[in-house]
Amino acid sequence: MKKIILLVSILVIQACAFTDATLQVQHDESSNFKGPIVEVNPLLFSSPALVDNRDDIDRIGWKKNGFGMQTADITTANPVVDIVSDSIRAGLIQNGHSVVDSSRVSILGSVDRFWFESDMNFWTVEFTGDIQCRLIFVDNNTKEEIYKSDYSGSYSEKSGGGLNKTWQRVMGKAVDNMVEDVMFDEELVEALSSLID
Amino acid sequence: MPKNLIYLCLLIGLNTNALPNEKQSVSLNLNNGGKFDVLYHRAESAATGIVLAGLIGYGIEEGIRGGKDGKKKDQLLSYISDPSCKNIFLSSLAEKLKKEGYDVSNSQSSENVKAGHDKLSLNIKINSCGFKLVNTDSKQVSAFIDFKTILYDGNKNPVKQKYIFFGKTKTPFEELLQSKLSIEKEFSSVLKKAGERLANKIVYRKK
Repeated sequence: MKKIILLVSILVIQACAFTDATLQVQHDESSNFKGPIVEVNPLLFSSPALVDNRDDIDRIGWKKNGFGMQTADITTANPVVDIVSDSIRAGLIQNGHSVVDSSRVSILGSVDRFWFESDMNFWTVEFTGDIQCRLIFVDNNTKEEIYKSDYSGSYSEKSGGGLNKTWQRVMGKAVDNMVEDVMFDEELVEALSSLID
Repeated sequence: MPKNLIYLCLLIGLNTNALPNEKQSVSLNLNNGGKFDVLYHRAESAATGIVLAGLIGYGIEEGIRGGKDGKKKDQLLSYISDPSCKNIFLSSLAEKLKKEGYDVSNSQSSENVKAGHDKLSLNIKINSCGFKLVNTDSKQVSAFIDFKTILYDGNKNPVKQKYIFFGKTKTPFEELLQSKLSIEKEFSSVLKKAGERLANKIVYRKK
């Protein structure tokens, strides 16, 4: 009897590897995104308008079996450009700026990578989230590009194992780190501070 | 206005001016300096080896990958004059904190930090730095530094955080090797930016 239960359990676990996983990825509302950008006089930004420039737009990662073979897709419930755009908006607001339709500064750009990787070691699995995007800041008064930069956010953790909740947390922390990369960019602060009313 | 009130206002004003411009002090304690490394083949999964031959298979596969990474590390090291993880990182951290008005000192322990005291202590443990594969599809690498910190700020629970910073430039390994001069530039740039970022994390921390 015990052998049958064990066999059924293994089959159930194996079957899970063949079904797609959809993650609810988002930034952590309680995270502290305050950085040097708070020193800039309050500005009106437009909501970031980003294009999806990823190599693989169908998934954010692969489910893998014990051999490391790709068995099913990992995707996000919301489009990745919306996740990145929402998180940047939250970061700007937390730093005293506003995100409005009629803005002084437009944010354009692309999401270049939004990837979840699981790497199996003997005792542990390392989960890594990696997000990369390019942002272009445009002064709407002059229609000139004032600053452009690549930003990234990575997060990894090792554990004995983990499923959707762990993967969501890892990706969420990577999003937070990407927002922090923007809010702590001193060259961006310099470019925004140079805007003349 | 009564004379006493004018005198009082003057006294308060004088006292305010007489107050010394107090700097907040922060002591930096480096627990581990880390080592230069190249994580390229080891950044790829070793799962097949595990399943095929268990612990021994994992060990063999990791050994092979480590050997290949070692060769890449030697290739890059010949273009880097100072492969230390700590030198540029710590100096940019201290420099930025001083610029922001902090009084920076080096400390061997955090025992002197107690709740309620206006003193910060930061323990830093650098795991590694160097170049790491950041895109397994396009095989691009970036300079990186991986470290952990514990900030004692007088609160009951110290703030523990782990960081991994990557350089802005992502290049296939062979292109990076050909560029020669940009190897050191990319490496030192990520260490400098990581130091400044950590300083800003202290400056803009939740109080």
